[in-house]
Amino acid sequence: MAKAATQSGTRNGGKLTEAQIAARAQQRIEDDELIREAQRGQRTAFDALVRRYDQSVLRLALHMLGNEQDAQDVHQEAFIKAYRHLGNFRFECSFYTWLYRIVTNLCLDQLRRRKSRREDPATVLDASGGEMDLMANITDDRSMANPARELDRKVMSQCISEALDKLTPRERTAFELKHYQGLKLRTIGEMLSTTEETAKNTLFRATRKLRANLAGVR
Amino acid sequence: MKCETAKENILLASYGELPDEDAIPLEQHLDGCEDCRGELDAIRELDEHLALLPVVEPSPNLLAQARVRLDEALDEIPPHGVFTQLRRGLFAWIGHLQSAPALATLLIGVGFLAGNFTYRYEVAHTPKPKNTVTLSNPTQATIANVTGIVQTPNSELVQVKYNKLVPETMEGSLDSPEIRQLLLAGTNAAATNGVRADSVALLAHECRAGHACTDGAEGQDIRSALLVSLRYDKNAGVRMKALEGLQHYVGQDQRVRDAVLEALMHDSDAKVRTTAIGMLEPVQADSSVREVLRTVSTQDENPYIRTASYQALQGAADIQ
Repeated sequence: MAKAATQSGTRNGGKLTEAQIAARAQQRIEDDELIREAQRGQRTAFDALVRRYDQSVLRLALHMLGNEQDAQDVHQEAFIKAYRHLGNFRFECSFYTWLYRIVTNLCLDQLRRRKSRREDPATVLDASGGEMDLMANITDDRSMANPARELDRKVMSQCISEALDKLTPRERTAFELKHYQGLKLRTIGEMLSTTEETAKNTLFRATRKLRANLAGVR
Repeated sequence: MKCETAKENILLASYGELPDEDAIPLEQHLDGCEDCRGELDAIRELDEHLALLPVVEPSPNLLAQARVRLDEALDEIPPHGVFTQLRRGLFAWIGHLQSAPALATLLIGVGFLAGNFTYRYEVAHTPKPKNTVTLSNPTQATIANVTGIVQTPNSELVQVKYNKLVPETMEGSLDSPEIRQLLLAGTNAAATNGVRADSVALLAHECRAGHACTDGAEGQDIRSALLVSLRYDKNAGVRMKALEGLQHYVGQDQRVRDAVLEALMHDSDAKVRTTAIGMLEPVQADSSVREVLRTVSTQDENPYIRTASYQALQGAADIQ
């Protein structure tokens, strides 16, 4: 009963079905073949890899940085880095893990730069420089029906953005990869060049901080 | 289970990261711990809060724009050169090796064994100096002499004592003592003149080469054997070989010098005498040598030898 209770909710479950496992194995085989071809200099093979993962990369960068322009920059820089260093890829991990490591490092750098510049992270800009309302993308039939509730939601999302911004870049990344991207702690450890245990402790710390920061809300 | 652990496990369970063996203890703990149930509620509340900032799928326009930018940037990167390809190949090879520790271990093991076997093979097949081998042939033995006969009284039983010659062959290096001993025997107990000439020639050659002919009892024996051959051998060719073998010892060994002087005075062969004159050049200052040269220069029957002796004597005078 308690187990069912703990594992319910909005979080992603950790268990994969057999079909998912098989699909991932097949995907990895296809990835490895494309990487080998790309390593031999075939640009089309690399383009195929880009098409497979660029949406995920952009989604991650957009959510972590909250800025379309920065997300586009990270997207471009990550794939160029991957292209230049593909020869060093040794098939010790999946291409997905390797690429996400590059992306998270670039996002970490961007977050650190923001911290040092004391940039306002809550300001979310779109590619044209205008303010972007992330909540506008959520379909909620009730929003138009209840303007007061809609206002509350906007305030809350602002508070959450601020709370997330108070995390260290490393805590933010670990939390992002676990909570929003649903990656395994072991994979997060690999991406952050650390152990699974350290990734777990970073997640605990991030969660405690978030709860403390959001305690007064509502 | 302690509350601190339980609270961490609640978070792990909510992310599906809690091992199955920890799930039941957590359930039992939650049943009896109100504080931890509160933690579970807090986690749920956090989930609800965070759901208000969901992951937004990038718009198609943004994705298309990002792809165009990336394509343009990739087009500007020059194609990889030969060096880059080689570097990639090297890294890929190292990667394969690293990702296959069993193969790497096998390769190292095979290399070690191959090296070991190669070394053993080389050691086993290194040419070794042949040991002296003696081959005996008793079937061709002959009776040398009969040394005694004893007859048993009142019977036909007779006991005969005799010596038997068994032919043997020895094969080995010229440096081996056994072979040298046989060659020494060949200088004075050879069955034929050819064998004697060969024995003297081989020993003389060893002396000229400086192989164990200078010191020790064996060296002295060889030199003595050559001196005997020079003085008494009937064959001029053998005497000539002995003379050549003694060349290096004219200056240091008085016996050799005397024998050479004797050969110069009395040897019947002109070539031997001529060679002896040439050999005496280093010791022309010796009075006995000058005396012999003077005698030969006036009394030798061969005019050429007389002239050669005279010239040698003149050279000795110049030295003095």
